[in-house]
Amino acid sequence: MNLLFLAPAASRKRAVAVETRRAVEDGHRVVLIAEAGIRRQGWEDLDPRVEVDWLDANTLSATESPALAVLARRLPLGLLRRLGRGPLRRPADKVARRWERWVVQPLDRRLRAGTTALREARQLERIRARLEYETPDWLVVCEPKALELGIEFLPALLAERPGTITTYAYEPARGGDDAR
Amino acid sequence: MSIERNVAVVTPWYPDAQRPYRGSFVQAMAAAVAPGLDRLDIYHLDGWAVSPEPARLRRVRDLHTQLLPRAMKAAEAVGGASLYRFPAIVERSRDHAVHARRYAEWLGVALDGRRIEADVIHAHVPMLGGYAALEHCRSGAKVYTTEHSSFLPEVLSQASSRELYDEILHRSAGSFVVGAPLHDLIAEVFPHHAAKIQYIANPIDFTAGREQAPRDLRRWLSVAGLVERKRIDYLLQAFAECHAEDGTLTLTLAGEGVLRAALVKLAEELGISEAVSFIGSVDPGDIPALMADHDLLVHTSRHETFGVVVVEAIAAGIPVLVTRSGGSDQVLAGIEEDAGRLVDVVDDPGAFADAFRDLRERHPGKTDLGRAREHLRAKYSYEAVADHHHRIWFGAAA
Repeated sequence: MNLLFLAPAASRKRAVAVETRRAVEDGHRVVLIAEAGIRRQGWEDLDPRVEVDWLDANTLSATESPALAVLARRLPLGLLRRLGRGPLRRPADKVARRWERWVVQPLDRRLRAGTTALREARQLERIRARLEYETPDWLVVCEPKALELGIEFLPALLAERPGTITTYAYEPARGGDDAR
Repeated sequence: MSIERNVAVVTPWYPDAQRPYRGSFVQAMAAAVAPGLDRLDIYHLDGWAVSPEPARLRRVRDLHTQLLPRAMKAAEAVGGASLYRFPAIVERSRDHAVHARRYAEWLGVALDGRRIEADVIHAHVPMLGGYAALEHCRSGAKVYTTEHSSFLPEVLSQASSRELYDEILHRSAGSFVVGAPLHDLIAEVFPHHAAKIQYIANPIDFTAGREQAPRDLRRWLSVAGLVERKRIDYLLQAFAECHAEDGTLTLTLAGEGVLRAALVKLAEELGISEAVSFIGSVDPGDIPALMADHDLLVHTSRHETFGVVVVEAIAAGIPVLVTRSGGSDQVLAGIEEDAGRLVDVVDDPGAFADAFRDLRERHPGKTDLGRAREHLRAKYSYEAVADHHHRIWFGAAA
């Protein structure tokens, strides 16, 4: 069978390494779509017979304009820090805390959301590209992120190919794979 | 006519490929009780946290509802049991009652409208396994629960969780805990259920062990996560003090955790790097041999729900030097002098070092590991724990 493991956040690397090896040893062809992370740390145990599509989505980050960074972060906070060194320490600290809360934190949240959107777009794009020419008999949804991304393509895929096996892990079933 | 003995276990913790040691005590319990049962089904609900954003959450839940029944196939588990393992999707939340209700909900989806077939269900962790089992047992089935959670104080600090926990205790046929700290906590919060809370043990392997007790307590062993609660920094400081007096002492640290780098650095600063080995996580099956290869189990935890490593050490035939962390005191009640030495939980590492000197003077002449071992075997061996469970489930005739 053709097995496709989806691990876009690579949050269960050890399980993926164990299960993909088990699947290969059971005679299946195994493709893994996974986040590489920093220098593929934690993926050392992956069986070389597993075909991997590395996502490298973690290299993407949303950015803000230099002007915004200066006007909303560096300038006001620098000024307040400098004021805080003198007799105005208390009011300056108070204003800095408020500035952090009302201005900086919302900007951070926006940045994080932007980063998530960028990464998810990359992840989905790569998964969809693979599914263009790959017809898995068995999809292993390895982790929560795979399920969260799956809402964008799995319902359509299963409607088109209802016979596709879907599981959350590759574990030998009682009675063998035919029992699935 | 004989009545079939069908039992189901519902648990949020069970070893899997990602965390091969998590919930190994549930696996051990299943292995212990399986002989003598006609059927044992294990439902392992693995919590998967997803985004709480309402629109996305709704779509994720719809997809999981579609996928889950397709994925429900039994895998082979210990003792010939059938293992049904699946994710319980929970939106990120600190509210433990939310987790409990989601676990119950997904067990229902996994069962596809059916009820758990067993007449007896033993659920681990009342809030997660217990509530799910109660919601999906069939009429007349008895649901028992065992509490192991070290995070129970946090659960019971939430009003909604406390209310649900009360309901779970009320509906359960029997409620068990693995150690005195959990018993005392539950009895304090729910005094009206105090009489219902009983002890039950996790099974420990007594089949292997050293033939002779160690003569000299030179090779120390700690089996504990490298986390704050286990106080490995305190252990390193106490060990350094003892090592300064006897340079032949060694310390093996089995376990992993977020403090590893800091503890390696501390060992360097204390000048004991060469005497201390960080060996990482150890397969539960290898623990008895590891213990038998050492002379002394040291354990410095602040709080434990059950002193499993203490029992394992004595089963392996080595004495123990452990803090009064709740679980350990209970395990060693009545055999403290025979098994080794208990130490109060204090901040001064010198107290632990003093206790070591005292134990080293007493051992082996004034300790009796054989007696301690037999005392614990009667309570914690696989046979004893299986017999206890069977008597609870099927009555005295078991």
